Amino acid sequence: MIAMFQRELRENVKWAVVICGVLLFFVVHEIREAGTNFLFDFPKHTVFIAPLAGLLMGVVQTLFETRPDNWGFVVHRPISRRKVFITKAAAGLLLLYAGLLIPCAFAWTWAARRGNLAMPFQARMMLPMFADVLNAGSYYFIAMLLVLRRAKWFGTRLLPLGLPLASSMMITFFIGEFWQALSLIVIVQAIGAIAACGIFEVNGENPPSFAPRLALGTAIYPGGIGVLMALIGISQSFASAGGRWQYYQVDRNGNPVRVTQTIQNGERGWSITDPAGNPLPQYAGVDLDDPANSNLFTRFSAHLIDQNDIPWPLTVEYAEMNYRSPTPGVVPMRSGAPRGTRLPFAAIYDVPQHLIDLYDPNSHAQIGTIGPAGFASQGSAPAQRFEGNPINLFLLGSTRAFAFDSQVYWLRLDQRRVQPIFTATPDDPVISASTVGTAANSDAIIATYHKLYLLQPDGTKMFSAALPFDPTQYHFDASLLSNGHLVLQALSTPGSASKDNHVLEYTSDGTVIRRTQLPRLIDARSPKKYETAMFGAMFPLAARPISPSWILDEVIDIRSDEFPHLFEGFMWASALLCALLCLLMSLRCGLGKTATIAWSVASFLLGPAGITVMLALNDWPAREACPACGRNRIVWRRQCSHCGSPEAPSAMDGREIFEPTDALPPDNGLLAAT
Amino acid sequence: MNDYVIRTEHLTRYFGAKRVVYDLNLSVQHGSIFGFLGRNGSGKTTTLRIILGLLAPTWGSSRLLGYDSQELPPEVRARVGYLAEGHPVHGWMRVKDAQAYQSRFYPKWNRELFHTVLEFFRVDPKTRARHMSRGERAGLCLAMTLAPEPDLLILDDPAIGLDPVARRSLLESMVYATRQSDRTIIFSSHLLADIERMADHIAVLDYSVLRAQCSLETFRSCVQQFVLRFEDAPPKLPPIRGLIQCIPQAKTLRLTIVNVTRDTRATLQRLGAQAVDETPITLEDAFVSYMGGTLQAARPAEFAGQTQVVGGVQ
Repeated sequence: MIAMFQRELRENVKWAVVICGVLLFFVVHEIREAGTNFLFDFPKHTVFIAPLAGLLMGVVQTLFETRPDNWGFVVHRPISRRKVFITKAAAGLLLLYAGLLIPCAFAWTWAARRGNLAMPFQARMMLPMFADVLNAGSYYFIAMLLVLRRAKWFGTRLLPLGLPLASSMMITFFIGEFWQALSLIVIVQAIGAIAACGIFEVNGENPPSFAPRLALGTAIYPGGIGVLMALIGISQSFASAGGRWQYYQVDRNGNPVRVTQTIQNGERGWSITDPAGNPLPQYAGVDLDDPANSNLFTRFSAHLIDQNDIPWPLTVEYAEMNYRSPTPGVVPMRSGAPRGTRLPFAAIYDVPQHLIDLYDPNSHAQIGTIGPAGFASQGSAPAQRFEGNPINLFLLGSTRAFAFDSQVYWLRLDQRRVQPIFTATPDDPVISASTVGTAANSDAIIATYHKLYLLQPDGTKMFSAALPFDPTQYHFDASLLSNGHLVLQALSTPGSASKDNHVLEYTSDGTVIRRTQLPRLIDARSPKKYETAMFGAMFPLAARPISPSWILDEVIDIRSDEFPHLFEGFMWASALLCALLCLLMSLRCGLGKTATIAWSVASFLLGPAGITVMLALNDWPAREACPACGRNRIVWRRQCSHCGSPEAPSAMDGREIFEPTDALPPDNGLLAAT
Repeated sequence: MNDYVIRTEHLTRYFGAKRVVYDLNLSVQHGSIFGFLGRNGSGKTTTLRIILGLLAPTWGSSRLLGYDSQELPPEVRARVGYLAEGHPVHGWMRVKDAQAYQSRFYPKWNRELFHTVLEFFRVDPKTRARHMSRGERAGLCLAMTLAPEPDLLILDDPAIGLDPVARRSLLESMVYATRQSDRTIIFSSHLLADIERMADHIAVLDYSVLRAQCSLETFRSCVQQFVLRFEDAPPKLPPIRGLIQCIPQAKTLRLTIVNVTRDTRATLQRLGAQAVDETPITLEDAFVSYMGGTLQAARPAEFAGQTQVVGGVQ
C-alpha cells in the first residue's frame, strides 16, 4: 500500500503544485489589493477554486483507470480493491489539501501579522476559507465517480455533481455554524467516497452491493432535483411573456396603498389602489420609473427586530449570523458619526474584546479604543468595556444607535466617544434600536419587549408607547413623516403564527391616530401560480413535513402558502404518478417483488427525481423472443420470466471439437469424431 | 478434479443487449500451456477478465485456483500473473521504478528473472515507459508479470502490436519462464504461429460460443481437407455436417470439413465425383478455415443451396 501511495503522490504532485500556484496567485493579488476585509473577501476565490481543484484532482487521478486494461493492471495485486481505492484517495486528498492549504496558511500568516489588516485578526476569519478547502474533497470524490462511472454523459453521468454543488450552496448561503458546515462536508464526502469506491471496485459498472448503491443514489438525487428546477425555470421563460407583482407601500402622508406592477411585452405598468383594492384617482397613470416619482412613498430606514426570533435560514441569509460573516467577530461601524462627516480612522467593534477599535486607514496601525468611558489611545488600557454583547450586529453598520440588552448608546465616533441614551429595566430589556429621521436630524427609536421609545440623540425622550404587537411574532419598520408623525409597519415574522401586516401612525406625543390592517395579497392572476404548480409536481413528498411553506416562499420564491391547494394537489398527483411509473418500470426491468415495492415507495416519496435515481441504478434490460414461449424475455436472466424455460444452450453446428474430459457439460459435450 | 486451475460453468456475459460470452464451459489443467483463440470481438478478453474476477458474469460461475473468481483473496491473486492487453504500465516509470514499485507487492520477487526478460527485449533501463517502443514496453510488462513467479500466468494478447523480433523475444521469455517449473500459462492470441510454437492445448471462441477445446494434435486431426474432381462443373452441395469451407475451381471442389464421419464420406461419394482425395492441411490453414467458416456454419441452410465460400469470405 505504501508503494501505491508513493506512486500516486509521485504521479499527481504536479497537479497539487498547479493548484497551489493558482490559489497563491489569488492570495498575492488580494494582498496587493488588500482591503480591511481581506480574509472575508478572499473566500470569493476559494469558493470557486477549491471545487475546481477537487474536480481536477479527481479527474486526473482516475483517467488512467477508465481503460479496463489499465484498471486491471492497477487492481490485480495481492491487496483488495478497496485498499487500492483508499490508498489512491488518501494520496489524492493529501495532495489536494496540501495544494489548497499552503496558500491559505500563507494568507493566514500575512493577515495575522500586526499592521497588515486594519482590524483585529481573529482565527475565526479563516473558517470560510477552511470550509471551502475542506469541501473540495466532496468534489474530488464526485469527480472520480463521474470519470469512472460508465453512464451516458447526456444521461445521469453528470448528475452526481449536484451533491457537492448543493453542499457548496448550503455551506455558503444557509449554514450558520462552522461545525454544521464541517458535519455536512464530512457526510457529503462519505457519500461520495462510498459511491466512488463502489464504482471503482467494479470498474465503472453499477455496484452490486447495497451501501455503494445507496450512496450513488444519494449522490444522483440532488442533481435530479437541480435538473428539474432548471427545467421549470427554463419553461417559465417560454411560458410567460410578462409578470405581475403586488406589494404595499405607504405614501408620504402615511396612507398605505397597494401597488400592482405588471410587465407585458417589456412594457411596465403600475396601478395603485387603497389596501382594499379601490382605485385612487391621484395615482392614475403614475409611472414609478419616472425619477420625479422617486419620493412618492415613505422610505423605512429603521428596522426593529428581535434577533432571537429570526428563524433559520433567515438568520444566515439576512441577519449575517453565520461563520462566513464578519459580524459575530468584528463589526465595521460605518454610521458612527453624522452623515457627511469624514472620520480619520476606521472603527471596528471587536466583539470578543467588547471595545470599538480605531485603526489608521493608511498604516493599518491601531490608534486606540473606545469604550463606555471614552477613548483610550493605543498602548493604554481602556477604562471600561461594554457589558454583554451588542444586539442586531447586522444592523450596526447602518445605525448610530448601539444597542445592548440593558443599554443603548448613541455613537459619536467623530468625538471618539459613545453616549448612553437609554437604560432598560431588567424586566423589559431592549430587543432592537435604530435611527429614524433625516440625515440632518435623526432620532433613536428603541423597542423593548413591551414598549416603543422615540428619543433624541442626547437621550431626551420624545415619546414612549406600548409596543402594538408581540415582537416574537412581528418585526417593525419605522419612518418619520414630514409632519413629525411616526409611521410603523408591523410585519409578521416569517415562520410565525401571525399572517397579517399592519401600518400604524403615531403623533409626536405617541398617540396612535391610524391603524390599518393590510389584507393578505393573493393574486389569482399571478404567473407564480403556474410555477408553484410545476414546483409542486417535482417537490418530494418526503420533504414536505420538513419544509414549511414560508421557507419555500422566502428561500426559493414558491408561493405554496399563497396557492396551497394547487401546490399540494400537484405534489400528491405527481407522487402517485411517479409511484405508478416506477412500478411499471420495475416490472419492465424484471426486478424482484421486494425491489419493485421498494422503488415504487421510494419514487412516491422522492418524486420525479426518484425515478431518475431508479433509472440510473438499474440497467434497462435488453429483450429477445423466448424460443419456448415466443414472448419477449429479458436476456440477462437465465430463465424466461413468462414460461420459466432456461436459456437454450448454444446451437451446435457440427464444428465442435472437444476432447473427453470431466469438465465438459453434458449438453455441450460433442466429442471429437475421429 | 483438483488438477484444474481454471474451471468455468455456463459462463455468460452480456453488455447491454450484446452477448459477448455465452454458456462457456472451460477447463484448464494444471501445468498446461493453453492458447485461447478467436477472432476480434469473440469474447476472449471478456472471458479472461471474468476468470480473473475483474468482471462479473451475467450468470454462470468461474473458479480460479479453486476459488470463486469473484471472491479471490489477495493471496490467491499473488499467485496469478496477469498481463493485460495493450501492455499497460505507468508512463513515468523507468525500469528501476517499475521494479521498485512492483516488487513491494510480491515478497517472492525474482530479480534475476526480471532482468533476464528485460535483456530478451533489450529494454533501455533509463528510458521512461511512455517513451519506450511497443516491444520494450511489452518486455517491461512481461518482466513485471513474470518476476513474482506466479503459479498461473494469464496473458491477454501479449503479442499485440509487436514486430516479429519482439514477438520472438516474448515467446522466448515465456519459454524461459516455464522451463523450470510446472507453471500454467493461458494466453489469448490471433497468431497461429505463436499458438503452434507455445501451446499444447487450445480453446476456440467463435462469437461468444466455445467451439473447441482440445490439444493441438486433436484439432489438427479433426480438420480435414478433401479435393473432389468432376467431369463437368461441380454440382450443388447437399447439407454436409461440419463443412466449414468450400473452394470451387473449374472442375474441382476443395472442401474443408470438421469431424469427418462415415456418413460424411458416404455423402461425398454420392456427389458423383470422379475422385475424392484427402489432402494434408497445415495447422494454420486448418485454423483459418475453421474460423473463416463461421458465417457459413451459422447459415447451413443457405450454404446447402448454392453459397460457395472462398477463404471464409463470401
